[in-house]
Amino acid sequence: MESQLGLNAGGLVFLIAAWGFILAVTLFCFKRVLSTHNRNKA
Amino acid sequence: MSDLQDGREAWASRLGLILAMAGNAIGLGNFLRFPVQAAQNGGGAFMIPYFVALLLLGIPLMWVEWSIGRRGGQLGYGTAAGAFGALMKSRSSAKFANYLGALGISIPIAFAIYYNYIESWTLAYSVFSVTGKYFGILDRNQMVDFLQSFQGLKITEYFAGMGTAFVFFFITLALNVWILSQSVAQGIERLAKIAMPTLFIFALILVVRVITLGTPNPDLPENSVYNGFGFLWNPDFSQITNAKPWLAAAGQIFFTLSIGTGSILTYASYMKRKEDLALTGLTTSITNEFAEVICGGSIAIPVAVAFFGAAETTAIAQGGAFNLGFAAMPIIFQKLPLGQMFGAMWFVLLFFAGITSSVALCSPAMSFLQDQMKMSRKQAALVVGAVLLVCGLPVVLFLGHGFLDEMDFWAGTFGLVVFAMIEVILFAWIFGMKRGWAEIHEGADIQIPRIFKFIIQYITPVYLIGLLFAWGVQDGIPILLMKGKPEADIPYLWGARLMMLGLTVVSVWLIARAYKRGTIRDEVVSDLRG
Repeated sequence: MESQLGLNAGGLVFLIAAWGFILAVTLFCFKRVLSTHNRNKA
Repeated sequence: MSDLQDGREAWASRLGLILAMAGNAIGLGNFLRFPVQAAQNGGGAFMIPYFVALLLLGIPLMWVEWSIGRRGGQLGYGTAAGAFGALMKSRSSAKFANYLGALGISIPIAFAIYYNYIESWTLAYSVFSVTGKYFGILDRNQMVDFLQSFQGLKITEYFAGMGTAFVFFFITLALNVWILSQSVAQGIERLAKIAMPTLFIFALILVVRVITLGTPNPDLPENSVYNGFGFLWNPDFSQITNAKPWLAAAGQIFFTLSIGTGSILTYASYMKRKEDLALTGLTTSITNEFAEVICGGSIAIPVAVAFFGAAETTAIAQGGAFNLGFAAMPIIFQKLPLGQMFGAMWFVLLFFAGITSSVALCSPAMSFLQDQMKMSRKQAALVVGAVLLVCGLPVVLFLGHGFLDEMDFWAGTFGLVVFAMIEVILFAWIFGMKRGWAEIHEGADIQIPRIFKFIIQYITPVYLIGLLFAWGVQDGIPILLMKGKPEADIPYLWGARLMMLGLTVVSVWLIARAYKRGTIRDEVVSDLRG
């Protein structure tokens, strides 16, 4: 663990990739859940 | 959706189902276990084995368990005892599979027995935060003394005995039994609708508080949140070339998604036949990942580095997740303005994460007692409560002798992988992947990429076998032979094993009784169509 270096480029890449992947899939899922919910209601 | 479905209860809404399933998955592991595992196993590089395990094990097994559960529910089965048989092609193999399903009752209840006690600590610490009971203790060793004397492991000026621990244990137990005694919609679903939004609001407030901390002590510029994120995320690629982080990542995925506990199967059994599980299953998995990686990864470790520095945080992490959650965090809260409020938020968050999971762990036993033994929900809740109490007492009393750790390995780690392996083999190889793929897509709102058909059939089972083999060699054999355990602890460890064996024997006996009553039948694939 290279903790004394602060958040280095590699760490930043992993953080952004992991957060980005999770946020993108979360948005996709909830958007689809809501759209199918509204479609079923209609 | 109606409240009752062919005599069985059903979820009142899709949102309720998603929140309940997310509550099942989101537990103490998201906020305590994940950051410790990541920090110890390569930092950012740990995310490689972690996401590989999520895609090859976690999400495929999630779909498999949901499918088995929804299918079993149509036949009136809420546990693997009944649901497994319905995957088989002959009646004799269905009987064998149904008896194997005893593990789907005994493993989660064994898990719930000790989890309930840990959950009671979070409730106690929520109260201690509000009352300021641990305020004034600023030394980490003294805070460990506080925790250990609360647990009855030593006597200090903080607690004279185990009275307080027992009070919170009983309150937690009573809350669990009360929620279980309500209908699915009024109990589990209502709990999830309150607990999950509260948990996310508290988690996001704490994340913002941590991120805006900067460098709390200007005299120690290296102790900063920025370095805390570096501590957790800077990749150490040398670590992922050995097996340890891969095993740790797979274990974390199992633990965090509650796969192999049988509780997902029970929750899915309350779904309608044509209700989507492909999108809903993925949504609950990713909600869990949001709680774990984004929220869990941004609170405990970064704040610990900001206040204690990297070297001491390493020591804290090596001391385990409880050391971080119950000894380090209470000191940090005292150094923050409004520390009592943030402390209470942290422990209430953990309590909500815990109770939504413990209720889920009890639900296979609840479902079996209701559906197969024809008990009322209240009677079933009282029986489950009695089991949690009687079997929970040795966990409370013999904590210092490794009773809880022994149960955690066999039920909460090894048992989950064994049960998941049985599930995927029955589903992909006996039921058949062609039928299984159609089952997953019944009423689906999304088309799952076809690569997952191959993954479920070949990659996931091989991954699980490899995992079991590696764990067996690395941990299983030394733990089985009790290597390095103090002589005085050995009778207690045998006691824990006998208790878990006893729970499995009782489950098998109950299945035999259900056969006699005619509430389990050897139904096979051809008995349930379209």
